[in-house]
Amino acid sequence: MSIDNQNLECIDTTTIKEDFPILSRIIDGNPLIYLDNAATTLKPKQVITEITRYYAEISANIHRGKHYLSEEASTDYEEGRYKVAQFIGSAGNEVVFVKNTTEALNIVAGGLNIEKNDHVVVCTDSHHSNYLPWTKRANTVLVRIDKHGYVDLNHYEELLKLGPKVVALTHCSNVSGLYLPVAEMTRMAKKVGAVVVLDAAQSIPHRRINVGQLGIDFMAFSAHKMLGPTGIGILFGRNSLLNEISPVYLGGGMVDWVDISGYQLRKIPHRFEAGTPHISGVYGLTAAIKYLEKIGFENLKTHDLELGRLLFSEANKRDYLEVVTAGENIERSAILSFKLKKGGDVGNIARMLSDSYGIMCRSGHMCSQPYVDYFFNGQVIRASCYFYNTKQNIMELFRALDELEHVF
Amino acid sequence: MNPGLKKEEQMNDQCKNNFIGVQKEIAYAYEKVTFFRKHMEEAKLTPGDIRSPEDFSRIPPTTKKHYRKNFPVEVLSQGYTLNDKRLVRFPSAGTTAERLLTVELGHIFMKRAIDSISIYPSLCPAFIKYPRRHIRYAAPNCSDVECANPYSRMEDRLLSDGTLVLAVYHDLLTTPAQILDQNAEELEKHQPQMYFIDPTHFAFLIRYMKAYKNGQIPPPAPVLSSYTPCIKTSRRQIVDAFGINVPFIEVVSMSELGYIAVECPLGGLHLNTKSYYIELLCQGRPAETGELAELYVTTLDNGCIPHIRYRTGDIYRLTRTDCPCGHHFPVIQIEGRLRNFLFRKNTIALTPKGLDDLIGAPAWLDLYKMKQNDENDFSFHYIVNETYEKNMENYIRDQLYQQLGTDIHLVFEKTNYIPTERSGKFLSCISKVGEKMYEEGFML
Repeated sequence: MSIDNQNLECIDTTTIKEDFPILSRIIDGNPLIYLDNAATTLKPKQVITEITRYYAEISANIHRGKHYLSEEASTDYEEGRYKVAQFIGSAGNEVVFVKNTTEALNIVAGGLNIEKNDHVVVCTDSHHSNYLPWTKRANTVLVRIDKHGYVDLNHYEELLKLGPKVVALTHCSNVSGLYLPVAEMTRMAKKVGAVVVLDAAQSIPHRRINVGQLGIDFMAFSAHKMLGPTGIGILFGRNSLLNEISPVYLGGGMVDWVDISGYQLRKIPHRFEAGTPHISGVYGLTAAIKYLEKIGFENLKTHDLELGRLLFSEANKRDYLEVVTAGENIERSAILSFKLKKGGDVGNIARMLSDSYGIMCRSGHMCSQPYVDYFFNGQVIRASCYFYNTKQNIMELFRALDELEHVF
Repeated sequence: MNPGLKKEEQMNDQCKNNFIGVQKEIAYAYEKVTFFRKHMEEAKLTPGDIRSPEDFSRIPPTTKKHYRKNFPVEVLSQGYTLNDKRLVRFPSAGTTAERLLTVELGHIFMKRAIDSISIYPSLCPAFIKYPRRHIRYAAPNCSDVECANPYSRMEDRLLSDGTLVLAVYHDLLTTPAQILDQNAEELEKHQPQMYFIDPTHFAFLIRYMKAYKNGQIPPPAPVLSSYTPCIKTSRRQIVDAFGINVPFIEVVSMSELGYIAVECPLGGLHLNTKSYYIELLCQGRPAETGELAELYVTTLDNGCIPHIRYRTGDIYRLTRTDCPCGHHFPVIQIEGRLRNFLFRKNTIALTPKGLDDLIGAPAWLDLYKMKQNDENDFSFHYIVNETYEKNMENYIRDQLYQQLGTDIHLVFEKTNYIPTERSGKFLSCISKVGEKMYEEGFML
């Protein structure tokens, strides 16, 4: 039975499995255990069907012409925008469709008229996408982290005294899985008049974020980390600020009028969506949000925190593993980065987990090299879960690691 | 019509006259409209076969799809061209399956409007006054003038008859303050004698002006509320602003037909049975008083595009035929568009009107939208004002579960933003299931 026929009180992974055809895949005799969700999530058939429906039944371009199919596509596309707006508590014209989180953050960094001597406060555990666009343009200052990998709020308060133009927060680290106290940090940043930019790529798949309640100015996230297709991301920007940003790309679909003496930009958000956008991506994203809403964000959050606790407690039982620890009462997503204390090439270990056990994990610097190098002095393996993962999946991972540990 | 007759006799008299009109319209359309001739031939009928209302019901209903698909070549009466200066163009606000382009002789639309407005006699002089100082404020696609463009100047939006079209934004709740300020200034300058407004739009403008223009409200004048059915909470806000002595009149109109029904001074919504031959049908037969019924309209004017047994998709209840206002037009209650009805297990669970009755017009509520996404998936979003206190909305949630079933998945959320339909209209109740049922031919 699919989730479409269920009124779920909590997450029933057996039911959900039917919606994910890939979870039935057997690789070299091993059933698939997918633990690379922080990189990208699997897609349920409801999302795949919507994407296919667009190409099979509609296929037309949007906002270009009056024909029936174009209007149908345009309506669905804009309804997708409204769906996102309601999902994050913004207005429809504050939602810009972009390629991914990286592009969204680059649009903001490139559009805010930041100069080299402006301060931008950045988190040490930022993904490169919320670090490099700022370092290229401004004087970035990193918020210190404590020995547990958690943000040092006293240092943050000190840095705010510099009067930063922007505070670029990472809601949930894609390396440690630790959540920042974003509401508190936003309140502090607002007191010094900073623009607050939030990278929500790792957090929004697991919990509702209401941009109005948080008081942030910009937020970026990607569809593919929350069941949607790749190549479609979202930039939320507060109306007044979006109106101040200059679009990076100029071309079709983002102007009201062009003549030889100049042009008139379209209203927000359309002025940021030059050229034909990822239309099928919006169909998939809309279906993904609907799917997650059916599961319920409270259920998603609970499941994420439970698996996060299990990952961490099982890792702590194993002396041979090196992990980012965390203090008590700190919220942690089901993401665990680790390496073997005795060494061993993490790429090879990830390959062994995959090929011998059917467990898919990520290895490398996780696009967060300063943080990973600081804590691990090199690359790591990362296991990251989503709601279709079970406690058994996690125990399989540790059983495999227990076996592999002996060969190093 | 003989004014000496009693009300019931007047109705019968009109019915008889109208049926003669129907026969003439059928003969006219059969001769001049290619689509209608084919439609009759497919049903193996000729105008001579239609001798009574019973015969008339043998003509298969026509639908929006027929008029969209056959426009203009097969629905325009012979002798008319789209360049005819006497014709007025009416694009509907709907998108895809709901969209339609209609043209008709301007004087026919005006006559239908005047016949309808006769229900509110004291309004007639201001209604037909020329030149006039009227205001039109509705969804951009309903304004029927390109000049509703938000980037235009007041003089660009002033029509030759003196009607000022206010600038509008497609997604109502994201309208920039600059446009709303401009609307407020233009209202002050224009000092309207009458408003033709979409109630959700107008209530939104009033809320904005109260909050950001030092409590100022638009200059009071009679309000004709049309374009979308008026929910109680919008009406409350407009009536609160203008006071109960300023007429607020609900008007039912369709872009392809014009005025259909108008509210009388006593609050009864009267169907215009003079300009049209009206059928209110339930399961293919004339509906009894109080029953849900779909409205079928037949035009009587031998105009540019005759509509015969035109299935509107709009559902009403005939409530009475003897309104104390004295007008003999029958009184109806709007239940909403069939495509917007909420369904459970293939049966109607709640109409938009039923939903609005359930919610009422509490002082704390500014706006709401109910949406059915699929059989058991619903969402209800609502916007509150400063008088709201925690849990005031609980009765709505309880009632929704009671009406729709406790097994539904209901997202019930307070919010600051609710999107408008892409047509620019704000519909307070929409249903993907209703849409599907309607497209698949569900009939009452």
